[in-house]
Amino acid sequence: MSRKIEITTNEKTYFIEALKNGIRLNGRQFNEMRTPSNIFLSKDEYGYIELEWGLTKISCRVSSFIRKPFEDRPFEGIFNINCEINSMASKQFENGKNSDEEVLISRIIEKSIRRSNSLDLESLCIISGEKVWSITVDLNFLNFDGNFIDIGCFGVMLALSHFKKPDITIINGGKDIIIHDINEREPQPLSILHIPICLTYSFYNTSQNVEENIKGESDEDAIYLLDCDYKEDLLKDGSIIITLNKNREIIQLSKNGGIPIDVNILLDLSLNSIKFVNELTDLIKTLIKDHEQQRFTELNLKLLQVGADR
Amino acid sequence: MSEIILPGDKLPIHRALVQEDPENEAGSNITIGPGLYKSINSKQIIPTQAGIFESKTIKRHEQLYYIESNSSRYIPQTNDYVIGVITGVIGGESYKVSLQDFSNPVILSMMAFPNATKKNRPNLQNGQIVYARVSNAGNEIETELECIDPTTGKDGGFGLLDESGFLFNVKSLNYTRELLFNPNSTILEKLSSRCKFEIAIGINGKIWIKCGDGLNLNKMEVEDDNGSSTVSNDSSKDIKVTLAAVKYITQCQHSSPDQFDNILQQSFKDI
Amino acid sequence: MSFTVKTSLLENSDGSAQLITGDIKLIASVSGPIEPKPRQELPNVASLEIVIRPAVGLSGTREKALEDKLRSLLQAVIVRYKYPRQLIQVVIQFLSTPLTKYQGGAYSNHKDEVEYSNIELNAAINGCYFALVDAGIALYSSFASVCISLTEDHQTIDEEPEYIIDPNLKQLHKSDSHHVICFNIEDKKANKILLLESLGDFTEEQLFTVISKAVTQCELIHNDYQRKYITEKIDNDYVWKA
Repeated sequence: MSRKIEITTNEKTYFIEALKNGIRLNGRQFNEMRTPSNIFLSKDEYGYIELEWGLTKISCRVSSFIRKPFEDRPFEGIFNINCEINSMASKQFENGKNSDEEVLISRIIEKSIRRSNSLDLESLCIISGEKVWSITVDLNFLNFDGNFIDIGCFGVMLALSHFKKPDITIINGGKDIIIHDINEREPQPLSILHIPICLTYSFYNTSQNVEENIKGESDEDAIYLLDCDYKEDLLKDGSIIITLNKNREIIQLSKNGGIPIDVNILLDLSLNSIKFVNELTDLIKTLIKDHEQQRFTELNLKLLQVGADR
Repeated sequence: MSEIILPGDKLPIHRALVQEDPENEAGSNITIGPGLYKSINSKQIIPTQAGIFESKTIKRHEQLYYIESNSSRYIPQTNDYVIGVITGVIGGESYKVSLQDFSNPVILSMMAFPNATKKNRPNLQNGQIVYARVSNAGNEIETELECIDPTTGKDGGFGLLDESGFLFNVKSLNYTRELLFNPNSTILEKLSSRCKFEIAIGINGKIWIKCGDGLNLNKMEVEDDNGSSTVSNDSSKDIKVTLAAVKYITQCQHSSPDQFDNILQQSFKDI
Repeated sequence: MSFTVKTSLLENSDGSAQLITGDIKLIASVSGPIEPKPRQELPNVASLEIVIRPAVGLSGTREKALEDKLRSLLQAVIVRYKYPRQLIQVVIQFLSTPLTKYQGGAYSNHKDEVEYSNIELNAAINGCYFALVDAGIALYSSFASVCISLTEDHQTIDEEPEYIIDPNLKQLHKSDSHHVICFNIEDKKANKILLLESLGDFTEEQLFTVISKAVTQCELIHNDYQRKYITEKIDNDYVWKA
């Protein structure tokens, strides 16, 4: 059985013709991102966010508990990202079956965030070899309209920045710990070392000649689009996912098959991406800052702070 | 004003008619439409969908009852006008057609075209789209389409929708019904004030639209040799107009009639 | 008891609803009738694919149990004969649950799971109703579900126990038993029990009291909330109508 979206010749030809004329079917510029909208940062929970990005909709939750660290890494906390896609997002994803696409999405998010050490694992250690924090991120895709990787990565970083773990005190000379209720003591934010931002560019070859496509001789015909929606995703001839951070470091770069890309294009793309990375990083920072401010005024924490200062 | 009915509600129909007795002549005058279901066990007519209850008198002693409601999943009914996507060939005799992504495929016989014979068959490729009529639909059998007007044997507007037009999906099926069947709808009338267009509306939520001359692929290729710039400009304008029209039609789906003009203005502002 | 519902919020599902009730927030999506996989196909009725996803972690046996309970309920309310050889897909994604709220997302054990899974079932049923109606799936009747807990004061015997409608997690911990009751609603009246899940110690008499309380509650949910939100949905569907 084929659970796939049928793309018609009409849509395909129209899409290619429009690209040749410099038009995207959704009216965006070639290197224009959709802006995240309806961002919801939970007020009564730490580490829960929802956001929409075009029609793509995700929710992300961070949770933590205390466990024994792995034997070979006694000083490090444990960090995991769960992202399973189910048929709620789109019927092309089968329930309980990991499609290649799904595996690719979760691997790249994992590679960008977990393996780039964006979360300081050593700060999660409580008693070495005995107790460490285990942080789990559950990323849920609710509606699919392309570009799960970039949006998922952004969502996870936003949720991690929003999360706070309960404060703890070590007693009995390092034998036991007290976990303070979040209402009793202000919980602690995670130590995030850098914010990786993924950007996916999809490539399209508008030339009629298939031979040339394969050889990659017709560079001038290659068009790349940033942040593609589901229709553009179906029609793409190849894509490249670049993960960068604000320090202008390339964290990962993956290109899985598809048409070949010229080195110069790759350099251009990386340089152009800096602009978006800065925008998105700042967006996360301002969102969190505004949210903190709001929480501060609403809970009237000022009174408490005065008490603490004295 | 008609009222909102939820599944399980009592229908505002005369009780004697509802508790229909198969032998009673008077009871056979009810026709039930979408949203209503005659329970097999209790022989009662019950509403199964939430929507606006409508009752119409077709003839004397003949009542039509149905629930007007919206959905996004198309369920084929005989005589519906639909747009189908060719997805394959079954046994060399008929095409496999998709009416909506993930729905059960339907069948379009190669003989269901005007002037088709065993020797003279239509030649459709996968991915091409046709405007067709549902000729046979039912739960127990596979749904069939035909691209022929049964009364005249001619094409009657059915058949292949060529690549010069754009195909897009509309989520609300009630909206496509409105566009196709309501002659008083102002939505398309307003659009005609901004551009010339040709449209095919399938009530399975697919709309094919061609504004101006549409894409003219053949012309492009011929003139490519002696400077394609002029030609591509033409087609560039038509593409823009088409996309603006698509935007307008899609957005009207979620707004009230007094905003239509505004949306039209917004959609066409760059042209 | 209060409900906040938003319908038709997911573009790719035929019907969807977001429900917030008490400490629970969930999204239910329904798609169908669609083409089933060959092994799912049933010759004369629609098959149901039900997926429940927890707010934290991956789905396990607890979710499978919830799916099973929900399936038996939905099989009784969906007019399955109308869609033979087709599939109806129901996905319920929990976004927030009492556990995630009470312990600030930081919990070290899962001992409360059994107890709170019934409140989740209750919310899942109510969320499912809106999603099914939004998708236009044929239903024999409406349905509504309520959770009632029962706390006995052990000091004073012969005293009426305290009944709490829609208890939160703390009240649930203190209670002696709790019950999830789902009624089908015909003609604005609760009619038949579709599902009854009980956990804890209780007498037959107490159960009957709980059921009679559930009747009024389910009718209230139906008349106050379901009718209101569905009227809103229908108004939205026909917004373009002159």
